Amino acid sequence: MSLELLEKLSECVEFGKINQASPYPPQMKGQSGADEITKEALEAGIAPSDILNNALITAMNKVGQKYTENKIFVPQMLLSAKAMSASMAHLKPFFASGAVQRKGKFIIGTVFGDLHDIGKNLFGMMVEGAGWEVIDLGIDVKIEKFVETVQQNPGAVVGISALLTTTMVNMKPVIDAIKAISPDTKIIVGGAPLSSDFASQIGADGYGKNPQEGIVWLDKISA
Amino acid sequence: MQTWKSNFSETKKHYTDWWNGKGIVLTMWEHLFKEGAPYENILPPPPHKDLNQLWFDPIWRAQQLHYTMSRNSYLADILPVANTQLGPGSLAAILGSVLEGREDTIWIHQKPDFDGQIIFDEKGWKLHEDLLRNCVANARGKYMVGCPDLVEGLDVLASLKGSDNVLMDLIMDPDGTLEQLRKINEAYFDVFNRIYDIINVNGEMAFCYFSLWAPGTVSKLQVDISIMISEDDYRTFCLPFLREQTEKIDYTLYHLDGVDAIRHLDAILELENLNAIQWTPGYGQPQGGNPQWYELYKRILTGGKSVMANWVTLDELEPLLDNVGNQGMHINVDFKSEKDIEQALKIVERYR
Ligand code: B12
Repeated sequence: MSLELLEKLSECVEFGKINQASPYPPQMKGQSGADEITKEALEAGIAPSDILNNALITAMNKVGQKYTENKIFVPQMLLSAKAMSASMAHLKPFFASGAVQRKGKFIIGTVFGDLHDIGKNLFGMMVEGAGWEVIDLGIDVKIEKFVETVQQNPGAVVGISALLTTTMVNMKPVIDAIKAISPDTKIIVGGAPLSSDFASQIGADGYGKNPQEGIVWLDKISA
Repeated sequence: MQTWKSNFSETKKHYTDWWNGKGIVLTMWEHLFKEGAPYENILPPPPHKDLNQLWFDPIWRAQQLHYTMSRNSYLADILPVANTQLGPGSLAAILGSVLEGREDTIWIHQKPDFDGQIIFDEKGWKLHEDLLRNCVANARGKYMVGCPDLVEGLDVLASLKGSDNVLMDLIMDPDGTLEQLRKINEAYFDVFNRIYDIINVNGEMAFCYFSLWAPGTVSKLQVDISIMISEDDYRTFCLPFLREQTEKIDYTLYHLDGVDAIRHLDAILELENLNAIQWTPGYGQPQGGNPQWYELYKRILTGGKSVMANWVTLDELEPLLDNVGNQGMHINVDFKSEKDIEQALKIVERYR
């Protein structure tokens, strides 16, 4: 029973079935979605940590893999992330109470001067799906905001996104400012115009060409 | 009337041939100043008071353009066309997206409170109309006035309601999205025709983005957001609307942006009336003259479309023509001086 529910939930997330009312995907029309199944699973006594680890994380892993292989594209990935969030909403109270342990905190934002956030959002959702608590600072995030959030969340890992050649250079002052107050804070950068060479030049600890690479890096540093 | 470009009739022939798959156009992105005296002694406007004036004051901008046009080089096939750009998406601005002038460019922001309706915004149109009319009045036949970068389809919708909302709606509300796209195309032709009426010179027209001139109506087409969607979705949400544009506009160029857009090339090549495809490699990739892109250019030419290669360097010119051929090539070189242009001309003449 519990295995079946987890499998069903995993499928909902993988294929972007948010809730019963959602018309997508057509082959799951009318069926329960991630929202209802998570409620049902909790009521059936399944541990929230099992829901996270054995349904959400496995599903988001598959989603990330399919995206990297060009089998699905951004719209499908956005829907998977929505389905995951619908499930996550039910788990939030357990995270807060400490009943479910997450891998750590991840602070993410798009660098100041830059308004692009689709890639940043996707990565943030994948990180959440990989079992981290994500603090999303949004777009056009100023240096002080990053610094302040790092101070409030000791031990958190930071991710910075940039999509413009004119704003990727803004990442260095952010990294410098964070390292100045907290030299041990690990920072990963990403976004289309970046490269791993550029990332090391500006003093970042990691670089992810796509969400999958970023998550592999996160797993490595948190292991 | 005589324009400030003395070899314009020759350039027009090069363009007409190129649109039809023949010959070479040699030009640059925008302009550089000529050596020696200006064509006429035009005074610049006083320095701009603020960013608003720099971009959105039609009289100031028309005067500034008039001044630079009187000093630009029009060697090779460089066009005598005033660049009336008003940001990355004039149609979106005429449908309610908000423009914001910055130091180096104009930014475009989502329409506040967009409710799904595609509504013509008179204020956005007036901004364009005033700029174009002032430019035409100054030009008096000495140069042409280009059509600003209209943009169409899904990219307009993205400027109105945000890219991620567009992407989600492809799946959650496909019919509503198609209806919005139909309305956007209607608005497109309305705006296009209004602009054509103001700027055409004896039926000829120029388009600012990618330096285009044609002996009829002309436009650049794009779906930049297509890097994020599947080939099937491209065929459903992009192709029919692009097809209508290629059928109604005499000469069309498709702007293919980024390695992830190449997936859609087969679909694009199916547009019977599309004349040419421009290739933008994207950041981190070598520019348009690099041997890496020869195969892509050959694929486009074999598909029956002309090619536009951008940011080609002088030393890449010869190998490019040797490998891709001399028929249907529009080459943009990043010239730094008139000497560069003359050097490139010497090379290209051997292939003409
Ligand atoms: C959508 C888009 C927009 C939308 C943004 C909407 C939004 N909410 O994000 C809008 C219309 C607002 C926009 C505005 C502008 N844009 Co724009 N835009 C794009 C476009 C079409 C797609 C970008 C995108 O979302 N890609 C898809 C996502 C999924 O990819 P991604 O962001 O790279 O993210 C992936 C990875 O990089 C990685 N990743 C991302 N972040 C991070 C972070 C970490 C830590 C990690 C590990 C990984 C990671 O994971 C993601 C998933 O794989 C590109 C064109 C293109 N071909 O890329 C232009 C593009 C980026 N834009 C460009 C420009 C110039 C602009 C404007 C200046 C235009 C203007 N004059 O108004 C403005 C700038 C506004 C600003 N200050 O930011 C240029 C940049 C050129 C350059 N050399 O810098 C591009 C390349 C277009 C072009 N060819 O000229 N744009």
